Amino acid sequence: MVFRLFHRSGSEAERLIRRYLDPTRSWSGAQDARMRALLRDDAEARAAYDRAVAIHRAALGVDPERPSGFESRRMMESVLDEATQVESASSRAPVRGWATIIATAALVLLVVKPWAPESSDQIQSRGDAQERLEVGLVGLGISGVPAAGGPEYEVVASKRVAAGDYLRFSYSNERNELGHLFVFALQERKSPHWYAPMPPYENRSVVIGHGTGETLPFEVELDASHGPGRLRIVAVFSPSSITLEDAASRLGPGLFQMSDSELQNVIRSRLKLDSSAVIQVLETRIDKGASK
Amino acid sequence: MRDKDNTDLLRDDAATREAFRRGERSAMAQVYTEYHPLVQTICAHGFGGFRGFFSSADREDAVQQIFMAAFEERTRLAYDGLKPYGSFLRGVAQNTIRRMLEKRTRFQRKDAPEPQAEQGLEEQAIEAETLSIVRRFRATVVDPPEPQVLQRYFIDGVSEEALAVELGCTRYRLRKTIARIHKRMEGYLKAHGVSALS
Repeated sequence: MVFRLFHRSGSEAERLIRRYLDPTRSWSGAQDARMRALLRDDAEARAAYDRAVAIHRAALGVDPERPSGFESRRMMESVLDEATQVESASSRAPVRGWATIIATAALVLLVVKPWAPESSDQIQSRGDAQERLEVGLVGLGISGVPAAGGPEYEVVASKRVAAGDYLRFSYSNERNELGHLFVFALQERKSPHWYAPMPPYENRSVVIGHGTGETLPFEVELDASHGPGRLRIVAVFSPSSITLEDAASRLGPGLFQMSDSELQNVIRSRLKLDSSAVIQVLETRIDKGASK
Repeated sequence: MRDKDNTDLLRDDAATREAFRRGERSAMAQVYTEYHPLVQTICAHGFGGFRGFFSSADREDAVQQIFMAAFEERTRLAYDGLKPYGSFLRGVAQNTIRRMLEKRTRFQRKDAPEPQAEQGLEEQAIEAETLSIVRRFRATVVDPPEPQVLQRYFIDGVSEEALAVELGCTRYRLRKTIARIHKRMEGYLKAHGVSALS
């Protein structure tokens, strides 16, 4: 029997097939369309897909000739993503859902400029349309989700999130070259909290697409590992992926006390980030009190 | 679809039909779920002289292209609500597949049947020995709530939101369980020397 794992260095089609069948990774309409376009033109990739889905279906014990429920849901969401994207582009339909509204509201106030040697990274308030067009809106939105249920709430402007609740993330990215997002948080006298990628299941940046108010497919519980007090959340939008191992070994201690600009410069230098990468620092405070 | 009792979701449910015509996501999701088996069957077994796609990659590509075509605004508005939507969708499916067949020379069939057509999809893609090993995976998922999550999330295709409510847990906890099952599946395959790519 031949043993060969999917390799990260494998073809784009193989990477997409692997991602398609991985429930811990997000899957978008654009990724589905891209994977199927690659398969159309590549017999070897089609054989790989057939084998991968056959193994997936056999392991679940379902009909080998039909997609599993998990696959069907991914296929459906992909078609709906694509169909509604066309729809909203033509009709400029209002944004959907609280997550999008909150993320969009937060991001309208923030334009993170690409780094340039002569100017430090700054979060620019209320960037005008021209500026936004020039640099492309890039940013992370964060909201709190009560553990006991109920609507999500704003956590950055209010500088408050309740211990035990969950953090939900969304992003906007109008710059095609920034396809990867790495998110972690800092607290005084604590090791960094790694949010995206989420160990032990993922070990490198989340792949993101072009979009506004896109919700990341996970939430982070503010459990006992998070102490009460300041929580500084760092988002790195980069053109290439960052591994957790690299970040953990290179970032080093002493980051929590730095100012925002100092922190951005140190992260850029220690992670050897490309000049186009965007680093955003957001802050909230974990309260011991009851959920909002 | 509901051919057996002669009912049809879009023909018989005016509210859903109107929401679908307006392009509401929830209505399109209902339509996809309802008519997916019909479209899948057309892609697998064909129509007229076409005997269906042999490869999962081609079948599922066709399914996606058919629904994309059916969800275009002009196609949604073209459905009059008089005849069953299943029949209308069958027409969309056949046109889409014809276009696929015309575009790709690899779909042109020889007169003699292809040997691989005699095999099932599963046998074409995996060796028998591997298949029997992989099929034993499910029996290894025994710790609650993993068997339930495997059934409802992976096999039935229930959404995370709905399943979290069903199980009375948070989505975060559910995701941890889903990730554990996935990890276990990968570990099982690796331990038995099985890979997704040959």
